[in-house]
Amino acid sequence: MKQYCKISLLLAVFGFIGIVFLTISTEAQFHITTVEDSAFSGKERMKPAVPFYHDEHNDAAGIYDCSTCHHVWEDGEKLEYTDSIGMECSACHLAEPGATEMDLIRAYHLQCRTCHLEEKSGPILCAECHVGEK
Amino acid sequence: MYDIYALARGPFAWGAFIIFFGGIIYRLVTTVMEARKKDHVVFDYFSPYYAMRSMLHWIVPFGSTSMRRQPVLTIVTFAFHICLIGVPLFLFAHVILVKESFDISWWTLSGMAAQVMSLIVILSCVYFFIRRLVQPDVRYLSATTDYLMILLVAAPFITGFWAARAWAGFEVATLLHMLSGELLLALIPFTKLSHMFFFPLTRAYAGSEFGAVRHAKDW
Ligand code: HEC
Ligand code: HEC
Ligand code: HEC
Ligand code: HEC
Repeated sequence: MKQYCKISLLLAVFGFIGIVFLTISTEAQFHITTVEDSAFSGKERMKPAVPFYHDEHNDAAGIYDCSTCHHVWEDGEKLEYTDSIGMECSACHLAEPGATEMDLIRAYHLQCRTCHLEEKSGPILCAECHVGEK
Repeated sequence: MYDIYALARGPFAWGAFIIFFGGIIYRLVTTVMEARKKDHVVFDYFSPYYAMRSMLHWIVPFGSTSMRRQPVLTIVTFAFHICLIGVPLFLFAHVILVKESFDISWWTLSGMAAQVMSLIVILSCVYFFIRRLVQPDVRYLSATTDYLMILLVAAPFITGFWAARAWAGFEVATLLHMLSGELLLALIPFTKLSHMFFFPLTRAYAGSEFGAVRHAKDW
């Protein structure tokens, strides 16, 4: 009887450790370190992907409103208290009729660089964002 | 850094393009007006046929005797001019900046092609510079500004190549690239680089004079 107790305790401990590891690793999966829009992944990239430590970036920059970037627009107006978390920028910025990759790149560049210029903090030149080898 | 970038991308860029296009119009108009006053026979003898004929001979590689006499210079000159105009117009990084500001875009060169073409411009400038220094007849005709002109033209390409390769110090190189490019644009109408838009006038003048008056070739 005691044996069973020990074994089940052991199993429980291992199980717990396992669950902890699993959570950490799935957490890690959601930890974004680069911007890599799937719209650019099918073909050869022109520039190296942009390192972007999502949570650290937003902490350091003091951005608490997710819709600053994950926005939703209606009738030419940006909606407050509404966000598009979970959607890639390409989901909308490539979807309009006639939209090309240039429109998507424009959206990224305008959003990222405009704020950096306004804040006078953060990268603004090509090679500051597109770091390293392709 | 942020302020210089904002200046270079905003007011300086506007200024450079306005001076460039405004300067071209100003120089063309004043030159034609002066010719009307001082040398109005030019207008009597002006002939579109001979003007076109002359332009054609001077814009086609080896279309003129002087080009055939100096094959190396001709090849370098043509490669240089094609790259000089092609790279800034069709560089991806330039087109995407235009796209960001004005939401228009056009065909672009691959990064590799653009870098090779920039190198051609830089090496051509080295060639022109050395040629001015060592070839006695050219040296005799060269003023200090001619050497400065070559440096002025090479500067945006050297700094641009540096920025594109992201070599150490590329931040400064990129800013220098923007500023030197703008300076170059603004100076084109008021220096010898004005041959860029005076070329048709010069050829029309010489072509008409040689064709319609002297019945001779001007190439
Ligand atoms: C503020 C950061 C930032 C700056 C500055 C920046 N980019 Fe980007 N760029 C991005 C982001 C973010 C993307 C999104 C694409 C991805 O990585 O999935 C992107 C995408 C691109 C793409 C499409 C993806 C590819 O490689 O084919 C190109 C090309 C590009 N940028 C070129 C440039 C050029 C040229 C410059 C300088 C004129 C520049 N970028 C400046 C952030 C930046
Ligand atoms: C500075 C702009 C910015 C801010 C602010 C921001 N994000 Fe993001 N977020 C991004 C970018 C860029 C991506 C990557 C998009 C891509 O790869 O398509 C992203 C991706 C994500 C993803 C992954 C989406 C996916 O499909 O993989 C989630 C989840 C997310 N963000 C949640 C949030 C939340 C929650 C907040 C607010 C606390 C927030 N973001 C604030 C820019 C931002
Ligand atoms: C739910 C759809 C949707 C998503 C997702 C989305 N956008 Fe937008 N975005 C729009 C609409 C609609 C507009 C307004 C119309 C326009 O200008 O195209 C807009 C406008 C913009 C603008 C120009 C307006 C401005 O001054 O802010 C930028 C830049 C931009 N988006 C960048 C991004 C980036 C970067 C992402 C990803 C982090 C993103 N968008 C995600 C729909 C979306
Ligand atoms: C609303 C403003 C804002 C937007 C939008 C924004 N940034 Fe930033 N970013 C900042 C600020 C502020 C900093 C400087 C933070 C600090 O003090 O370290 C920064 C810093 C950075 C840095 C430097 C390293 C770091 O993580 O701190 C990178 C890389 C960066 N941003 C990339 C991006 C990219 C890519 C985008 C677009 C997807 C983007 N940023 C959009 C405000 C913004």
